[in-house]
Amino acid sequence: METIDVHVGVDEKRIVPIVWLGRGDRHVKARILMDAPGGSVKVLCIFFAKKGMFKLETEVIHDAPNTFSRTLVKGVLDGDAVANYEGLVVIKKGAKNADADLNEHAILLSQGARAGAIPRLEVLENEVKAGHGATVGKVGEEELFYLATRGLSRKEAKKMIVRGFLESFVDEFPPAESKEIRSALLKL
Amino acid sequence: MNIMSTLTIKNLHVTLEAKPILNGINLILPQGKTHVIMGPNGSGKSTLGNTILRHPSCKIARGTIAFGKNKLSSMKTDEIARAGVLLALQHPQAVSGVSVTNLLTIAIRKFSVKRKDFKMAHFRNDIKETAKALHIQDEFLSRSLNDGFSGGEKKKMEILQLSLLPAKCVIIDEIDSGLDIDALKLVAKQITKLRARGVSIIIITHYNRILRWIKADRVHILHKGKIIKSGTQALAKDIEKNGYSDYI
Repeated sequence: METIDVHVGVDEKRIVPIVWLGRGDRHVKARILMDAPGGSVKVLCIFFAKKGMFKLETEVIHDAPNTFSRTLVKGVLDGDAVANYEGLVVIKKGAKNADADLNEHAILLSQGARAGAIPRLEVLENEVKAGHGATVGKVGEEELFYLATRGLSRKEAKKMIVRGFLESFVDEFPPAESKEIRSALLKL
Repeated sequence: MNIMSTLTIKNLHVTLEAKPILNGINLILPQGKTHVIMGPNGSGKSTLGNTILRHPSCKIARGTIAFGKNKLSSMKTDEIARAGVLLALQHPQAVSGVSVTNLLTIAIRKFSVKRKDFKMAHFRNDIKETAKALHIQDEFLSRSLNDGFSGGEKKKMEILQLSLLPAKCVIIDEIDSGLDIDALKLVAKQITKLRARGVSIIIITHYNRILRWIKADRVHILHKGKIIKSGTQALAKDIEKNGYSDYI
């Protein structure tokens, strides 16, 4: 298991990028502590794979006023790839005006692919904004048929859906990661 | 159009989830002609359209479908489309993250590999012009295709795509449902343009309504998976007046 520990200082802005492209199994645990006022963090995770297992745990702790966090996990799984995600956001008492959001969206391109998501919020302060959501969608036969009627093979249709789903998200990553993801998307 | 291709359906039997839906369809559509398939609910109209494009749920039990030299009944959906046979779906799917412009610019490359005179910039312009003719607002060209679109917008998007891809034969499934009169007129105008280009057309419909603006060469009535009557446009008018009961 790999661990990522991040401490966000006063008025500091951080991005925590996590990328899994299916090259070997991976288990990542990221813990972000925001105990200084005005800190801001974006935890961004993208995954797409045809095989292998990915486990991701994220924990964002708001322990100071005016802290801001976004946790966004997006992925596409094909073949027999598996991804499980557990996301936790804690807003402690006294973290007034904290603003937190936690989201996971995954698309499955095959019968064998599996994705699980458990998002959790623990809010102990009243004057906060907090939200979460998770969706796991399947690219069904009807969608592939539709694209086939426009002349696209199954492979091309899947490629188009993956790129369409992930491309706009890639721009939010730091240059090194976004370059890595883009070159993987091109190889699809 | 240089090559004349006739769509020939011979003794076509099709099952859907093991239930027989089409029970011996025979149909010949010469290049450039417009045929209308009418019939009550559940007569197999959409199944016929879906089978021509080889929808995975529609199993051909017997019979053949050919378009010129292409044996559609043993081809894959995308190969059939690239042979120039296109389908406007009754219920087009939403495609997340893919706009109609994305889809068309990728799809056209599949068709235009051998066309040296093809210019993507011209094609993008054609998309805009055709959208304008259909009164499709610009924002719909860049939004996720059919995602949250109204019934009418989805239907216009289907005709937009069929107008821009190099079609030789189009099957248009219930394009008139969900369209108001003004939208229907715009859609009919595009279909008439396809006809003028020499494209063969099959219009699957419930009502005579769209035939006020489109000239049909033949009208067929489908009932219980068989064509029970064929005639001229007068047949469609008669059905509008008297219903199907005289024929079924």
